[in-house]
Amino acid sequence: MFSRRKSRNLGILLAALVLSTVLGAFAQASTETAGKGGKMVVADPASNGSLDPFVASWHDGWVMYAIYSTLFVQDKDLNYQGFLADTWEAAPDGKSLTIHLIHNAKFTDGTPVDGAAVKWNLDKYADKDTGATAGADLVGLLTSTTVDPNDPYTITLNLNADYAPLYYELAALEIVSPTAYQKEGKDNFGTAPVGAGPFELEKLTPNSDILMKRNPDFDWAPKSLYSDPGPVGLDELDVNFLDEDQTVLAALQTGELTAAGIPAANLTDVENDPNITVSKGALQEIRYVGFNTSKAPWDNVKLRQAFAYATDRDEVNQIAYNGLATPIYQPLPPTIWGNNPALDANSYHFDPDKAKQMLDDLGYKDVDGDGMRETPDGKPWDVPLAVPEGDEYAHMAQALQGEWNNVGIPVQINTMSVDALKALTQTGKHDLFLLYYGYGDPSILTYFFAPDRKGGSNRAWFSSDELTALLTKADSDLNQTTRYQTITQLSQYVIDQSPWIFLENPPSLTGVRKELKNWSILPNQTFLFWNSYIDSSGS
Amino acid sequence: MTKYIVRRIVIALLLILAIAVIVFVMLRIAIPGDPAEILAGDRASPQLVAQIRANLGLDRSVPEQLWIFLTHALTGDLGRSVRFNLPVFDLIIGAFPYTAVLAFGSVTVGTTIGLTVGTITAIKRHTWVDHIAMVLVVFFYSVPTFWMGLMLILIFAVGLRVLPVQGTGSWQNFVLPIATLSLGQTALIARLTRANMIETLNAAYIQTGRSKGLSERRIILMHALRNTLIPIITIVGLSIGGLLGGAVITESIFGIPGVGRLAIDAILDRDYPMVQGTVLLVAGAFVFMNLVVDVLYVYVDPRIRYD
Amino acid sequence: MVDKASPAPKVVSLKRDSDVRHESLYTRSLRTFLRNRVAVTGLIVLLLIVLASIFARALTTTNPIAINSKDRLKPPSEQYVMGTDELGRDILTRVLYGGQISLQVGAFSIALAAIVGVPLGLAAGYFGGKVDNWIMRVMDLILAFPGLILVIWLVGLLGPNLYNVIVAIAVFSLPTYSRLTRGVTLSIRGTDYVLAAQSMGAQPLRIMFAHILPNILGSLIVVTTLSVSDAIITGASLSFLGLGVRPPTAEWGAMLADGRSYLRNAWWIATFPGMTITLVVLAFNVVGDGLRDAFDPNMISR
Repeated sequence: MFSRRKSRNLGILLAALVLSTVLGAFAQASTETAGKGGKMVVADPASNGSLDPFVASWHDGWVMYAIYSTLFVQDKDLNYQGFLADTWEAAPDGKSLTIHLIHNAKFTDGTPVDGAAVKWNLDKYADKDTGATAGADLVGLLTSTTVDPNDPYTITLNLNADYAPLYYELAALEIVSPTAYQKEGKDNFGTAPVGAGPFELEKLTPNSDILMKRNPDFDWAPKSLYSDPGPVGLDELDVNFLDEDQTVLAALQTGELTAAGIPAANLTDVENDPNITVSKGALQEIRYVGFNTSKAPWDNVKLRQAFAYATDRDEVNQIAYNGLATPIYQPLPPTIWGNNPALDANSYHFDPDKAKQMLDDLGYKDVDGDGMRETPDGKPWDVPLAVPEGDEYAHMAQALQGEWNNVGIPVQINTMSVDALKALTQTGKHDLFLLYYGYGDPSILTYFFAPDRKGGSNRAWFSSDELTALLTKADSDLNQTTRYQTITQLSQYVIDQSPWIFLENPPSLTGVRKELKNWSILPNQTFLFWNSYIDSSGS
Repeated sequence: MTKYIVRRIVIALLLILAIAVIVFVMLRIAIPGDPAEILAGDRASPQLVAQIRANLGLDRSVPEQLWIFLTHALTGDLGRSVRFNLPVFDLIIGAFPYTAVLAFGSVTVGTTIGLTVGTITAIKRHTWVDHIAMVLVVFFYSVPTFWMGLMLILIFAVGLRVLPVQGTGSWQNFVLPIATLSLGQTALIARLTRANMIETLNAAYIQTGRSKGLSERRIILMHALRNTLIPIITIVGLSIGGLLGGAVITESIFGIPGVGRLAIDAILDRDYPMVQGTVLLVAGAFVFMNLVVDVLYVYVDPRIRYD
Repeated sequence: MVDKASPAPKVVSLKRDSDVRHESLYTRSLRTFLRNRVAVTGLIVLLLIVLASIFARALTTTNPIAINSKDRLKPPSEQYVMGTDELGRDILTRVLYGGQISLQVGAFSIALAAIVGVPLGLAAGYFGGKVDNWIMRVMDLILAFPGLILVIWLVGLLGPNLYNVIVAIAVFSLPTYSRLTRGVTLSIRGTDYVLAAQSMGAQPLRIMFAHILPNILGSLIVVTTLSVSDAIITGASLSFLGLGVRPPTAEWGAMLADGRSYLRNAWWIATFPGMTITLVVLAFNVVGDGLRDAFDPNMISR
């Protein structure tokens, strides 16, 4: 039987193919680990990008923080402390910053972290041809970096303007080994990174995991954060890229993961698990609704305020975050320096009657008696709200829709990808949009309200001379006290003008297995694990 | 036959070229967001976006970009992924084994069980065995992949602790994903086998065989089963072709770094070179499997002929 | 290429021509179908679900999309027969309204795919040659084309809505129908009774629809009944990706997907829409089986 013989051959061929692919897959499997320090496995919802900080837009908290070191770090009070920087002094005019580096740091290729190495990094970040996302603000700001001829560990940054967020910027810049970068080149450094961090890369499997091992020479952990300067307690750190929340949760429960973020909906499941501790905090992020203030009728501040009064943040919090978020009433959340609790009293709190009254006064009345208001000229009204994809935003949008419906505002939810939403806001043809931002410094507001950012990140198309002056003043004020006052002023201005409805400061829930000892999480959600170890005794 | 296959391969290559060009153009028009903007992030100035765009070669005209892509692709150079800054070719080669294990594993398991269940239920038609098996088959078929995957994780990994939740470290990691994918495959094949078997068993020539005194076993294996193979080969071919393009949901639930995740992330990030690379793979897998199916028709059913 | 002038058939099929009993086939089939109690039960269940969905507004008292933060995550009770979801909405209400969307997606997309795909497959298999080549290459193109890109592109151009979902699913289901039909057509176009019909001067259209089509109805009905659930599930995935119906709108698959965060502590959110999907799919299959049996000439002759 000709056909049968053929089909059996095919069977063998298939079997061989399956076998060879199975073997191929297993050949890439990670190696088994043992040792006193243990292996910490964490989950990251985003898949990885390049590990080259000059190329990546992806600065993963886990991987970048483990492989590289930075000049400064933020402590638990959100103040800047030295890491590679030992001491530093700013010139009185703010036009230069001299940094004395620690002497004992060296890259994992053995080369020292000296003034020349740091200068090479800063110059590369500040070069516009690099196109680096990190340090983009240094382009045009940092005119030059000089190494002290008498002290190879002292450098001076020369700036052409006073720049208040300078420490924030510098704390975000990963310092790489110039020797290794020049050897590997732009194309290969992303898979063979060399930094001066507590870990070094062991194995990189794109989209799967990044396995790192302890850097045995590392003993320069910042004193402000760690009691033991190093080397780290853990043998290995494995960052797994898992995008399904429920998988992450299950893997945390089985112990496949040591630590992972927990969705608000699943908090009770994890809290009931005796093997897991949950750390609750808040992200340096907010969720807000923006108006396109360049388009009628959203150019009317009264109408924007009416929407703000119609918004019940406590209900939004319940529905989208199980009550774990913090409702906010100003543009900066409590987790970002510059937030002023006193401002909340001067903002719009849920008051549906006031909202109804304001809408009545503006002429938005229910003419046909269907419970929904019509426009002042009697035409049907439908308020489009652009919403990013995802449960969190869908829930928020539906809560808002319900609340606004209650005061007679008809709402049409348009769900789209975040990128499509951002592209839409750049056209200026949009209406309302639900969005987020995350940052660590109040200078972020400049990106949202600068006049030259309309069509870009100024998605509300909102600016005024008064606001611009306040933003410029805040960004160039090197005095913390007066800068804070300026930020309070500009926050109040944004509240009054209401281009955004501030909604929530979302929670950050981290589940950690009890086997992991000696860890903590800072208010800015930095996970301090360099002194941690896995207790394998089973207690 | 050889001539037929050669011509089919030529057509296949043209088809893949057509798809590559269509996708290339589609990506650059009408899909909002471009990789430079996504890479640059929210805070980026227009100058930074322009610089990144230039670094990626996206400042050239679309026909020029297409020409560069095609000429490079001919030499096997699919460009570098925007996100990973690694050669697209290497990334796909790295991801493919995982996807192939899932595809061939689930199709092999699904087809084997499906053929068995289908044959048995066809023979035991209208008995309780048939009814229960068919209800189970339909139940498994009606459960969406993501749901089945999560249920298997909750039962076997979290509840019984007999298998790992996610990862690719050992063979155990592949049990649940393959089970997830093969349950749907089993249901499809079982239903199809049963339907065709019943049709064939009732056909006159089989009745003739019976009257000639051929054993029932011989009739089922030699004649009936073979006659049901045409639609089954079609479906299996399509399944393999589809799965080789990546099982997006299964891969993402079980944390498997296969082609599916690569492709979906690339689309979401507007990682053009990566999208184009995965598209070539998806298209190639389909076209190849279709060719295999058409050739197999000839061996399974001698009535079909190509000259 | 594919040979058009068929060679003499190598396997002699004695399969009878169903055309002989053509007049009475449909009334007989109906009677056979109605005798099949399981199939009739399936049909009744299906009709009930369809009717309940159509008259959802009359059958329910609560609003399917209005949130109710006081009654979130309530287990099934007298007030809420299927419980409430994470936004405090009655799940029974949403299941009924959701049927309107899910059944539309399932029925219209598959109907569209079958109406276009089957004739294409018949033509390809029957005529062979250039016709076959062109049709199958276009189908290859569709199959090989990455679906998600087409959907994202469609949505980018036209915005997300129900009809895009239906069209997209129909397009991707097209090759399944045409390839299946073609495969079987190829295998029987050279058989005696087709040749006989040809020699009697029957028109190709008549041969395809009257002689070949009945032979593939079995496979076709099975695939169709299963495709409906496929379409319902695909529609759900698309809504979930933001490419289909918008969030407040109830839709079975999307409800199921939303419920996955609450698997451990509010099982009812996902269970009831999931059970409904299974029930509908089961009913479709039972009815499909009944239909196949009814149209099977050999069943009648028994």
